[in-house]
Amino acid sequence: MDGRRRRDQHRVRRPWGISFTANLTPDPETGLGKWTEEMFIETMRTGRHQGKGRHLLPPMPYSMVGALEDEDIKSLFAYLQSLPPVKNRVPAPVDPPEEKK
Amino acid sequence: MTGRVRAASAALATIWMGALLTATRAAEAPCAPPRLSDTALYAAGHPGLVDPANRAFSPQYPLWSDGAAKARWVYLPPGTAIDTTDAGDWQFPVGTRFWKEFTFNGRKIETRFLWRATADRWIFATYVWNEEQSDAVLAPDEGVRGIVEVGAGRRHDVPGSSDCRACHGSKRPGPLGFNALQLSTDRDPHAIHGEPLAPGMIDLGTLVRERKLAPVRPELLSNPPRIHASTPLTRSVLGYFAANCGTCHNRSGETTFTGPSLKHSDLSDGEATTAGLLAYATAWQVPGQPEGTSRMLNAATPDASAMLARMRSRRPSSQMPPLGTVLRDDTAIDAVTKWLATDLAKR
Repeated sequence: MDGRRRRDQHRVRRPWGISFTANLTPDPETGLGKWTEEMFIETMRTGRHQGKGRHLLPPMPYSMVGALEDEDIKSLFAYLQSLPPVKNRVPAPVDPPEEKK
Repeated sequence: MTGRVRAASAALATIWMGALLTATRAAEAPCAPPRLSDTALYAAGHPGLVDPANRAFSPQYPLWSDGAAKARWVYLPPGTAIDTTDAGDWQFPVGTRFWKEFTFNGRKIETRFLWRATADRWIFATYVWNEEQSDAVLAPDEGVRGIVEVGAGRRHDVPGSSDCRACHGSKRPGPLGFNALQLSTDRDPHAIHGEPLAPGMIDLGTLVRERKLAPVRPELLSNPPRIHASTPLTRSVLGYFAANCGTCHNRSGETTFTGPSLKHSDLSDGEATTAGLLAYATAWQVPGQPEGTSRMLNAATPDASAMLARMRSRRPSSQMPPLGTVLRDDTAIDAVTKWLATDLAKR
């Protein structure tokens, strides 16, 4: 599948703009390869990228995942890190058009 | 009493004692007081008058907070000192308290409170000022959305506890604007939004002279921290980055950032940092720019500078800093734009 078709299949276009399904495989450049378990937990708890950055966009249900016990979130992270890494740079979210004032 | 009954009684007593101990510990666990006036900011019996034990200070490179006027105080318990063994990560003694008061349009809106209550616990709290401006009450855990208008259609949010943690860290929490560079006696006269050091404010000199740093660091007075740069504009812009970007864009390992560190303690060589920013290709692509051309800073094509693009944005998905501000900092944007067009264009 070429990159464009793959992007089209993994994007969600809604009023907040366009969000793309993140690369959750442990590829170090384009996925979660450089993430630590602590970053992953903080992301789920705060709803912020790496626990510090921008808000995660819908439809990521972080508030549900963030309600899990630490051990369960660690298990999710361990599973994701066990996947084969896939190099796939997902586009940054696309903002909706500016509101006219 | 049979052996079985004795054993059962002993077990019940153990459970009861355990429950009592747990309840006692819970009751003793420190928490944020319900009102600002209960945090020891003000002198006893003098509401509104800051206790002289709480010392005012002003970081030379203030964090952008949508134009809020800010006042800050710190309390260090008598006989204690800040552990400065790690210059980039000062450790504050138990009992340390920080306050930061935010005023918009002449009215106090919120006061943030950081308290190292125990060796392993910092308490973060925000207090929202009442209509009478006589006291402030503890904000709910989720913060308060849109408490005051700070610009056309833009409203300031009182941060929730997760926002406090996002900036102030969960691994090694603490204050952000109280470090050797920010308090240096070699103060940058061109700092963006720099505030004058008012009489009575403490700085690095005060801390050294009063032996509030351990180990004692006389070199901080003889050779005060400074961003060494070839031009005043480079120095002031990097200082701005230290305050507004360096909390996350560093090598602490709390994020996956691998670019040049903008942390206050890593900025002594401003020229090296600048070269690193010009060379660093960002994963985040500047909209409208060809794939692969985005740099942290791009002097040849300023519009391909990710830092500038994200400073200009106040869209949640792309703005930088990502929280704590809803208004662009046009003064800083102008400074960075000028820096790219002048100092950096000559390189």
